[in-house]
Amino acid sequence: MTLCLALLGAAFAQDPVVDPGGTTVQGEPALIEVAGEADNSAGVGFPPDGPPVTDEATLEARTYALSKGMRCPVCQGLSVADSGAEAAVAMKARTRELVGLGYSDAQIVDYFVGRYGTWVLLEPPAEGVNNLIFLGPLALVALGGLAWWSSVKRGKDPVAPPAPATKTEGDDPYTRRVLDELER
Amino acid sequence: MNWKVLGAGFLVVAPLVVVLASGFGRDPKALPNVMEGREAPSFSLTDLDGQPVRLAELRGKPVVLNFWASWCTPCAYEHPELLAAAQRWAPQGVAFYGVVYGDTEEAARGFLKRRGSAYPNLLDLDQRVAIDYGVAGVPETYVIDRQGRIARKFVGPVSAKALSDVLGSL
Repeated sequence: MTLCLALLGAAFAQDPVVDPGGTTVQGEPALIEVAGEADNSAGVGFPPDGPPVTDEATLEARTYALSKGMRCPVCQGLSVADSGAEAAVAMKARTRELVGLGYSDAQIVDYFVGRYGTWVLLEPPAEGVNNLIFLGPLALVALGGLAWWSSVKRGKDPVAPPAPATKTEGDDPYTRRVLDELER
Repeated sequence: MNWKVLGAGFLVVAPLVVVLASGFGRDPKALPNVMEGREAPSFSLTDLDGQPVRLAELRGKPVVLNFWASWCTPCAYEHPELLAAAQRWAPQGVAFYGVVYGDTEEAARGFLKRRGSAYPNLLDLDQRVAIDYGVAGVPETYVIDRQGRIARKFVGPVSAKALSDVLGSL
C-alpha cells in the first residue's frame, strides 16, 4: 500500500494540490505517510491488472484517450476530456490515478460503467437493444436491395406506368382538342 | 385504396413511433441507478473536526451518506429533513454522515453554522469518493445496510419519511 502511495505521489508530483503535504523527490519516490488517507485502489473494488505506471507520457496519453470516450455527468454533451467542469476534472484525475495504479483500460472503463452505467460511454456498446443502432442501417440497406432486386426481376422497367394516355388518345373529345392545340 | 402502400407505410411509421415514444418518454438527463444492491465502495476521509472516518469501521450498522454542497439549493432544502431523520435514527444505531462535494471547507462550515448540524461531515474536496459512488450531482443520498451494501440511492432532495421507510426496512 505504501508503495502504491509512493508511486502515486510520483505520478502527481507536478500537481501540488493533490499531494497532501508529502515530499516527493523526482526520480526517487519518497514514502509518504498520509494520516487518514488510505489505499487509493480501495474504492475501486478490484485489484489492478498490471504494474503501476509512472511514465508521464503514457499516463497523459492513456488518461486522455480514456476520458475522451467518457461522457461528463454534468455537461452531458461533452466528453470528460473536453469538459472543464469540476466533476469532469475530478473524473479525469481519478482516471489518471487508476492508470497510475496499474489498472488496464478495460478495468477503468468497467470501474466507471459500474458506477454510472453504460450512460457514461460516449459510444454505446454493441449489445442488447443497442444492436439496433449498429445493425439497423445494414438491415435497411439489405431490405432496400431486396426490394430493388425483386422489382428488377419482375420486369425490365417496373417504374414506368402502363401509359394509359395512348389508349384513350383520340377517344376523348377533350383530349383530342388538347392534342390539336399542341400540334398547332 | 392501395393496401400495399398502406402496409408499407405502417411498417415504416410504427417502429418510428415506438422509438420516439420510448425516447421522449424518459428524462435524458437521468443517469441509470447501477449502484443499488452493490457493495458500498470503501472510503477513508476526515471530517470537519479532523477526525478520520473509515467506512470499514462502520460495518454492522446502517449508514446514511449524504453528498452535499453549500452552493446547492436542493441541499439546503433537504437539510432539515436529514436533521430530523438523524434525530430519529441515530439513537437506534444508524450512522449519519454528510460528504462535502465540490466545495470549500469554509463554505461548508458556514452552511452548517447557519442551518445546524447533527452528524459529522466528511471532506471529499477532490471528489474521489463521490466518483467511487457514482455521484453525478448533489444532493445524492446513499443508505448502506449492516452488511455494507447500498440498499438505496436517492438522487435529489430526500425526505425524512423516505429515509425512514428505507431505514425501517433494514
